[in-house]
Amino acid sequence: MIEFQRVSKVYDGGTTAVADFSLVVESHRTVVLVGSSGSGKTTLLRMVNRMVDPTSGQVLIDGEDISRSRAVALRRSIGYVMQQGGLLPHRSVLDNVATVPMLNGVSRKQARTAALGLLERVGLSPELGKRYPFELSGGQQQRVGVARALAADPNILLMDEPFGAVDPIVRRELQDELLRLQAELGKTILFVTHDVDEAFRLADEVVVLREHAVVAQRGQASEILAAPADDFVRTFVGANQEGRTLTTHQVGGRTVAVDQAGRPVGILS
Amino acid sequence: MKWLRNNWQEIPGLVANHVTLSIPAIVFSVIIAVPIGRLAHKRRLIGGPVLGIASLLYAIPSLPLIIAILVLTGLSARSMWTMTIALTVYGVALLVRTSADAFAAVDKNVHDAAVAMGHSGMSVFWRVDLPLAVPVLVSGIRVMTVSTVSLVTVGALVGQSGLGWLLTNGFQRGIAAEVATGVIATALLAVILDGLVMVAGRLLTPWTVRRHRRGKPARVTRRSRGALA
Amino acid sequence: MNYISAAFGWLANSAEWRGSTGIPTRLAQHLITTGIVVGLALVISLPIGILVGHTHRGAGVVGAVAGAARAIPTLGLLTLFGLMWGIGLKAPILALVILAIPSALAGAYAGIQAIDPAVSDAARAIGMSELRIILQVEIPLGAPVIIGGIRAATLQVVATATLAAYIADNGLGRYLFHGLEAHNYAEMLGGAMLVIALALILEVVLAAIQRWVKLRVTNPRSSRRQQLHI
Repeated sequence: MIEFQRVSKVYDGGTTAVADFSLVVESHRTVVLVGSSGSGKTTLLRMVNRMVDPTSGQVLIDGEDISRSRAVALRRSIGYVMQQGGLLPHRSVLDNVATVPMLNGVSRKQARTAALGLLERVGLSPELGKRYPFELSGGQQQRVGVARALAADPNILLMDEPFGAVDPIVRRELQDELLRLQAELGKTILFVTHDVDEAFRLADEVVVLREHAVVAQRGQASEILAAPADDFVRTFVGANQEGRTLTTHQVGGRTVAVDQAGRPVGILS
Repeated sequence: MKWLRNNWQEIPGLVANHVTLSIPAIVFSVIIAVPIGRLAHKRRLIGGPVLGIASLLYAIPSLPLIIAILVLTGLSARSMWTMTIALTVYGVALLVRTSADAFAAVDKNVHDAAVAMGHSGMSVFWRVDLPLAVPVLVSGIRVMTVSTVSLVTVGALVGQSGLGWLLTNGFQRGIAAEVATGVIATALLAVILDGLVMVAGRLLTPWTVRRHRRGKPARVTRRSRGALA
Repeated sequence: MNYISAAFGWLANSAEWRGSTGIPTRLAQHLITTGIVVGLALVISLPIGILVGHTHRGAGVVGAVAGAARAIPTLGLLTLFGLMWGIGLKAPILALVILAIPSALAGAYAGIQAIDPAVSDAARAIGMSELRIILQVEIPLGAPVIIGGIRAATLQVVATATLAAYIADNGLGRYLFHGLEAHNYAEMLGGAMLVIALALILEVVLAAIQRWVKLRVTNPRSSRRQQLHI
């Protein structure tokens, strides 16, 4: 369980990234923070592994204030996936995945064996392990990023726009893969994105942020779509866009969903 | 050529002396310049003045610097340290900027990822930042190595041994072949040491070597983009 | 420490400021030689460098020339030319020109080729001739780097002109060599201080010019406003 208790962050230059933010992320749930750039969502994420320390307020993990833990040890116990993978370009794919267990003192051989299993787990052929990151496609690199984050078997997974840099089709595949993995593993996932569709697809709970990480609305995707809290949320989730408002028609005994422009988009079963 | 036939036995000794003067200065320059460059990159406020001082130091002409070191330190003109100090000053001045550039060239994302995985400060430096800075560092060390080997010859003017002796001795005795031998031998030595540094760099960075070999497009640098267009 | 005061004593001695071996004469020789050499080197290297940068042809040759030139010991070139052409200015000037070309050439080339090709393409698209693109787009945009090359070349020539005194009766370097021969530490150190001061002043001035030009290129409005205030 991750708890943000009234955290704020003011950077040295005087810019406020986060103003008085509170949130509880229950264990084994996927919570997605969604907001445009400048909403402070990455800052929030980085508070959890102390890449950023809040100016005021506390972050608790399983009830413990993390400011009292050693940052380095804390980070080794939390999986982190970032945009563009952030893979170490001078280490092979296998060594990238094996890095954190080795930092934790697992022997190289053991860590590598485990890494091979993880590659398979995220849908990569073990043969790719010998390659360097630049020899993989963008989608493959992101899978390695996920495998690396899982390597130390952390309870918590932080994901910072992990699929932002790949094309839409691959993004979709990676999202499905994450849903499958989460069904198996049941991690506590805090996920950051600016893509509303991605948030709705992945989240048990969506948190829509405006500037300075002020919570505009939180809840299940369907709740937010059905009852946007205000105009900001309505515009942000595109509730009044034609693609989101569907009407139904009866065609040959079946119910066809049609968007506002009259284009059929699906069939209700 | 007649001169070379009669005097070639002198050359190995001169080469050995030349190398003895060059290598310590090259090594000291790397040891001193890399941390300064890293500091200049990390702390911008210090970085500007540091790089300014480096370019001023590099502007000092070699012979006056050697003489100033001689007179001010009281070292003997024949002492190896006179040259080592002078060459190290130039080496550091030349390498500090490249070192700062080398650390700046490390992908911020990768650095952050290493921190997020739980590398400690020193561990990030030794295992991530420094290895990733090596390709740019090596290019700077190569330039510095060549310039150091060439500068050692100036020491001959104050009585230091090395291939420069062929230049001064040949000039005083009016033997062009001796001077030409000195020029060519110095240039060859520079090219050889440059090649050794290059090979060492390749061995230290296997991930870039494979990139060359497979001919895959590496990250497009500004230079290569220009050349392609 | 007494060497330093001796050096200042030498510098303060009015006898050293008179005649054909006096400091003003030597300084003038040094500067004139530097000026001639840099001028010749620029006439040769700027057009070639700019053309290579513009056409992106021959870049490998420029790189090879610049790299190879660094490996040639300056003292070697000076003494070799000195033996070939005897005492006089011809040998040092030719040697110094050869040594100055790579820096200026590399600067001119790098300055032009670093320009975003889209900018030159846009100029071409609106109907500028190649010459006009070079003169009105590429040279102004590449100016800071081109001047950086000129700065490096100039400093190298000032420094190496000191060594040229080994083969010619010319420039401030004479004090160093005369001092070395005569074991006159005051003259040696005094001369060294003169040369170092000259080089540092030139470096500071040229760096300032380069910074000013860079400011004009990257932020034209701010420098124009500054001009208006003057």
